[in-house]
Amino acid sequence: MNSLAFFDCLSIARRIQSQVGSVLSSELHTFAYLSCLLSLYKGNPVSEWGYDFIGIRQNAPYSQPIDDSKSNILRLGFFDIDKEQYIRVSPSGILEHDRLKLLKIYSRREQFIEGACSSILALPIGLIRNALSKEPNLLASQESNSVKALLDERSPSLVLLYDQFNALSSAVRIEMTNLMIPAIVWLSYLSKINEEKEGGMSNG
Amino acid sequence: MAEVDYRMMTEIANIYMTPLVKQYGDKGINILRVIFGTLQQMYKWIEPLQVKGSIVVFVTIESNVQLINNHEGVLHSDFKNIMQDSLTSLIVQVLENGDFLIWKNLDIDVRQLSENSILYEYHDKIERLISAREESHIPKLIKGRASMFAPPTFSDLTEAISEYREEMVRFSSCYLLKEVWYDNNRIFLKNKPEFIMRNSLTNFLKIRLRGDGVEVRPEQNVDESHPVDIKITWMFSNRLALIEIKWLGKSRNGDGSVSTEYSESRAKTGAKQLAEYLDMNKSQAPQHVTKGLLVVFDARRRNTDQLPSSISRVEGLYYADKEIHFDPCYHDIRADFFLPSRLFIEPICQENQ
Repeated sequence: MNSLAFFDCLSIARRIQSQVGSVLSSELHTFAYLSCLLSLYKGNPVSEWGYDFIGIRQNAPYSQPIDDSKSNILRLGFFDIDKEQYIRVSPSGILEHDRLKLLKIYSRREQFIEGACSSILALPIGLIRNALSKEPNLLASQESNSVKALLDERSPSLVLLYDQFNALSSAVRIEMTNLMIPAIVWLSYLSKINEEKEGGMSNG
Repeated sequence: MAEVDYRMMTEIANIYMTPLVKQYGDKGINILRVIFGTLQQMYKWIEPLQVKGSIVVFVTIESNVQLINNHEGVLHSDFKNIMQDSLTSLIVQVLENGDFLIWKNLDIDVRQLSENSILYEYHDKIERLISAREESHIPKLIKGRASMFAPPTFSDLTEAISEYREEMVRFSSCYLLKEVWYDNNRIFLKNKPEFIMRNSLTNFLKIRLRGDGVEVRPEQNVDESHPVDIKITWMFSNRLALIEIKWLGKSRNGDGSVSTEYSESRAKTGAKQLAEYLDMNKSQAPQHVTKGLLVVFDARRRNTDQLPSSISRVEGLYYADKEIHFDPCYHDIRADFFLPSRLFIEPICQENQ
């Protein structure tokens, strides 16, 4: 089992639950991927994240370690799930998260997870998911029409992502620990770019 | 590959990088975080369209400084008991302990107030952040929404159905909906496709309408003998939507025989049923504002009596623009009836036929 994915599941679920009451399985993948991208934004290499993602249907990110961790967490009783598949962190899950985040290997991920999940404060989850699906690597994955690992160091889409992050960094200007604003600005940018593109297509 | 639009990125960043955020860094961002969190909490209880004037939420840079003098604010710990019937304006100062000082129907100079605070203002569907007398407009990324911070509502449902039509149904791209077809060219449906359609729409709406207190549940009973296909509950605004699903077209059994054929009259029956459901629901959930939506999956193709295995564009798309004429038009004569949504699913047509 990937312990980093295990921790991320607990941390993401707890944060989203505090905003919208529960979390869906697909949101664990979405926000884990967004957290990973914020880690790249802060200059960390892809390999440091600790697990991989692939692009699946509807341009959504998916990570097998996240899926395996979710199943383990459910089995251990740290998540409760209802018949409509809404997940909630159980009291023992909260204690487990509190215990794990004291360890440096996990605590340094909290900044990225917090930044990703804070975007829910300003943007609806549906919009975040749609905006993220227009991110260069997920777009390229859809265009290639095959299941490939996302964030391949040699792919042109990763270069474009870094270009976007350079622009983001220049636009935000100041150095900050809290990544909520970069997350909101970048997702809004992806959403607006896509809106313009679709507007252009329907007009033209 | 597309280039990066630096100008657009900078414009969006400038909305959130208010002067006081730039000056105070993480402290300023934490204040923004508090404001955004308060807005989400507030809009569960306050409908922005019902406030005629402005809604202002602010946090002072120095903790708990009283910037509005001469008028007593009322201390609240939540927004549950704020009566909004006669509100012309609402001003909220968020205090360090999470409580709120609230002033109703008070006229203030927001620019002056913004000198030592970060402030959000809503007025007539426009949202701004103001600090140190500089203002920026929060982009409206979802059309039709009064506030980007308000939970999803009826207008989000109609928007979501339009997205579902284009993104999932038109070319049957939803992975669940791919399973409804008897044949690879999407000419005939499988027998009893309604459960797959319901699951596909439920799944989409569940993800698309995510927000605190929004529940999308399949097949809830209005009473024991009259199920609706999907029920959506907006907990904090006492809104309910009941969705009835019908399908049109031909379905075939595993042995190739036609099992069912539904034409336009099936949709009309659905509208009548839904109107009856809504009447029944009035007595069972009188405290809710309930609206009904008829969703029609339209898989009709012309000239399919010979059960062809391929179809031309002329025959396959014959019904693509043929709207259904409802009589009576419940959506015109009843306020609790959405305009029915017909979702035409295109077949794979043979170009040279």
